[in-house]
Amino acid sequence: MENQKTQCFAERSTWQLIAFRFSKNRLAMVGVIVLGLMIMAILLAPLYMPYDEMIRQDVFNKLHPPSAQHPLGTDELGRDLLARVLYGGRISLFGGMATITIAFVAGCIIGGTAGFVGGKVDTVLMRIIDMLMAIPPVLMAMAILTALGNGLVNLIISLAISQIPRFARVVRSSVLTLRGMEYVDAARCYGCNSLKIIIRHILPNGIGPIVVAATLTLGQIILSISSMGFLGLGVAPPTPEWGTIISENKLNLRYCPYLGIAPGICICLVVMAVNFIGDGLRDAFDPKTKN
Amino acid sequence: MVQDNKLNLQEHLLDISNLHVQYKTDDATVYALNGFNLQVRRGEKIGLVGETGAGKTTMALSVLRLLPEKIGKVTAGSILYGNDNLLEQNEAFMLGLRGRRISMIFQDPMTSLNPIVSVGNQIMEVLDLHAPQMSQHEKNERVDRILSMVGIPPSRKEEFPYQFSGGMKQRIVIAMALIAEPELLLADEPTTALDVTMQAQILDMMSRLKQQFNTAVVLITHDLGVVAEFCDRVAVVYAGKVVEQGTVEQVFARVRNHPYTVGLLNCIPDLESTAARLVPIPGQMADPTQLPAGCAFADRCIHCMDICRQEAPKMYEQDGHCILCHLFKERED
Amino acid sequence: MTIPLIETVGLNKFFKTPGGMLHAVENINLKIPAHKTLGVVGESGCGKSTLGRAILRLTPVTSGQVFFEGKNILHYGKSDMKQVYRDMQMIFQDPYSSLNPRMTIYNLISEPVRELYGGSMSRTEMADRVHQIMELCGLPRRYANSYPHEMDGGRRQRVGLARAMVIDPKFIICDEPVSALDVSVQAQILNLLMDLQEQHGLSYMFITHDLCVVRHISDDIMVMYMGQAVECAGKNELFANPLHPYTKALLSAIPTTSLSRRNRIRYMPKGEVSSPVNPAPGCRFAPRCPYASEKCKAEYQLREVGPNHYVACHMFD
Repeated sequence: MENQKTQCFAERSTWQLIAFRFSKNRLAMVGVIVLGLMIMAILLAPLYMPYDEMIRQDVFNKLHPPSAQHPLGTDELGRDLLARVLYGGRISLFGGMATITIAFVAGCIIGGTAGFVGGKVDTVLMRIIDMLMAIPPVLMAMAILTALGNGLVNLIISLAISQIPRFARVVRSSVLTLRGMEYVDAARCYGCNSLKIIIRHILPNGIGPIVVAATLTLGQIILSISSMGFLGLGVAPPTPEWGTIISENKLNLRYCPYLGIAPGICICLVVMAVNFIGDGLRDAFDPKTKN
Repeated sequence: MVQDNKLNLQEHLLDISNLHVQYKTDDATVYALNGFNLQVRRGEKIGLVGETGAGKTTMALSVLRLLPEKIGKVTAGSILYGNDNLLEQNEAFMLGLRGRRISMIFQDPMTSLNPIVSVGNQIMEVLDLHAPQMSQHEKNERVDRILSMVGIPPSRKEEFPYQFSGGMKQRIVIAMALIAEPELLLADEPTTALDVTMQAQILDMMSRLKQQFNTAVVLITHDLGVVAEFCDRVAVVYAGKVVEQGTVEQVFARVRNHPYTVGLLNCIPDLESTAARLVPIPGQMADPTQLPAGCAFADRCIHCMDICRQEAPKMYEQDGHCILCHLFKERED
Repeated sequence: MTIPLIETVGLNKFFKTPGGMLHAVENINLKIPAHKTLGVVGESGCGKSTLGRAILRLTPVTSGQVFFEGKNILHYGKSDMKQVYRDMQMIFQDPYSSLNPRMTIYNLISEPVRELYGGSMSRTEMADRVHQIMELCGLPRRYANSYPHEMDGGRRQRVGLARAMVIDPKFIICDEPVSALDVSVQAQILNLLMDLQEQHGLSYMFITHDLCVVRHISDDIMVMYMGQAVECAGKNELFANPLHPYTKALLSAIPTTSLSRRNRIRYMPKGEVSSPVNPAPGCRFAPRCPYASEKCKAEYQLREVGPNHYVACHMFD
């Protein structure tokens, strides 16, 4: 038995072992399932919830509490809240995740290059990053969006750019400490090129804090999308989006709290699920944590 | 300076007997010291040798009552300092003792000094704490005197730690430890981080200072050579026990030794021997979370007998040379 | 005359610092024949580790040449260097930072093979090779799936050695491989290194500050002081007849357990090590040397004073 286990283990590469450890992490798997279910519900919405339902106004049934016909109730214009939350998820969830992904990848590339190459490249890149950091993220996103023109894609790009400096900083500092480790020298001794060194030796060791930072930023991004929408940038009403749903209903929250609860729970669930996944990833990268 | 000089010079300054210390973690209990016995006389230099994890540093921390809180715990034994059992004293008593009557030097001089306080002020701080009645002028003089004694020009006392080399920093740490003229100095690997020529200088300097202040020194090290050259007496520690104790001449004459001491002596390449191979001690250090019933060294010992695994050995003594091993039992009478 | 396995000619490595040029390695000429060990001793900061890293091209060289089997490898491109790395490896001082903590022992040991020999080995061949080398280095097979943090210092150092040995090199640079270990473990590793040398005809460059260890394992010894080679000789010659004042000081400072050496005469160099940034020409040891003359401060040269005994001191001109 022991020997068999040994055999099957020895065949696995580092990345396979990380995947194996991740699959053993219960909390992370809960995150994956929750996130998966939400994605499915949102993607398949057109099959069971016609798009019209979302924009159809019905002033006779406005501010209707949850019922069989409207499982989550209706808003002040009588639109079905469930439909709005489902279709709004397309922008909030996928927009938010796309933003984080772009910011994460770009931050890794910029910070990684600066930290790994060092010297003048590092100085130039980091001074640019410092300049960007001096501008508040929302203000910067607004400026970029204004320059690029309104639209969902541009919104994602502008929000991503505003988050890059943070990621680049975190990545650079962890690359700098790891670059000096002797195992990086050892890898050079057996002819690893820089890309392989980064992927095999630096990334798995430095990814923990970066992933956690990324998952925690997701909630903030979803809210940023809505504050941009509130300012009339990015997604404009009547297109729903979780943050917008909350803000357009805030006058009625006192008497119809369910209007805020549903989209609020959605944001909460996504952030928690992603955070569990992030923690799980961090632990999966670190063989010291026991499952 | 010593106020209570009632103590007899022949008497032991420090008498640790049957000390047991455990570290409790979530996973296991580490038995760090298991019946540790050590006597230190006034003004003597005693070397404590052993490998990593033998319990040398734990012993020093127990004496100063600086064991990590909630994890480290003394479970049995006593530490007599003069006539006081240190384990029964309150924190206020210990504060007056630490740095004033017992000083400690740590291995890494880089982390023992505050980088943003000038070295002169750092040494002064010890006096501020332990001799507040002294005038500022007097304190300044003391600082200058101790600095020149450790070989650092007093003119450099306004400088900061980063302006000194590693060897000089360690000398500053030693100056800090000795300024209050303690009766006992616990030096935990004071020269391990230094080069050999610097090590020789530091050890020479410590010897001279020791003579001047009549301070007893407990030198904790893994380097047998350092002990042989610096100390009067040696105590070899294995798995939380002193397994052999004697004068340097008794131990390094290699006539009668504990098998562990023999093993240690065989593993270091010597300047004179021409042996092609070293003789390592077989096996691994005993696991401090589950120590065997008998002698902790039994598994690695080439002379291991049946009794070694069943019964802990008793101390065999001849002319003050103590060995904790069943091999020497018969010759006792 | 046979070509030495490793040879350096006028090897210089300077670092740019805000204060000027730091001379880490200066004008080093060394030869290591096949199957032999060169010990490089010196105190911390004398440039011995930089020298090792420069030979392996882990750090760019300022000037000079490094020959491996007669060919200057400093001009080699990446693919040629890969060929060189099949024969030249390094083991490191710190058994804690020299192994990637996120990789299993199996993956750590097999990675050099995958990198340097690519896909020419099947999975089973690879597994056999790794297990064989683990056995050779005294690592039980059950450790294959362990992680470095689950092992003690001695075992980790064995993994480092196995990683270097797995591609069957001709030459290994050992950078203080036993300094971080306890004496009983140190003896095990030293014995292992010597056994491997005997079985596989390896050459070592053994970098250390411990003179007892270097005497035990080396054939020739080079003593370095602040980037310069001050004396180079066969080990018995060096220990029996040290000529350079610094070598003498170093040898007399070694603490020893033999009681007969307790009251020997010590040669203590006076003063502190001076700064290696923009140093004066001539012998670096001159400011601390009791015998220094004006000439010492002007000129430095390593001269042969006897068979295989080189000294950089003007007392022996």
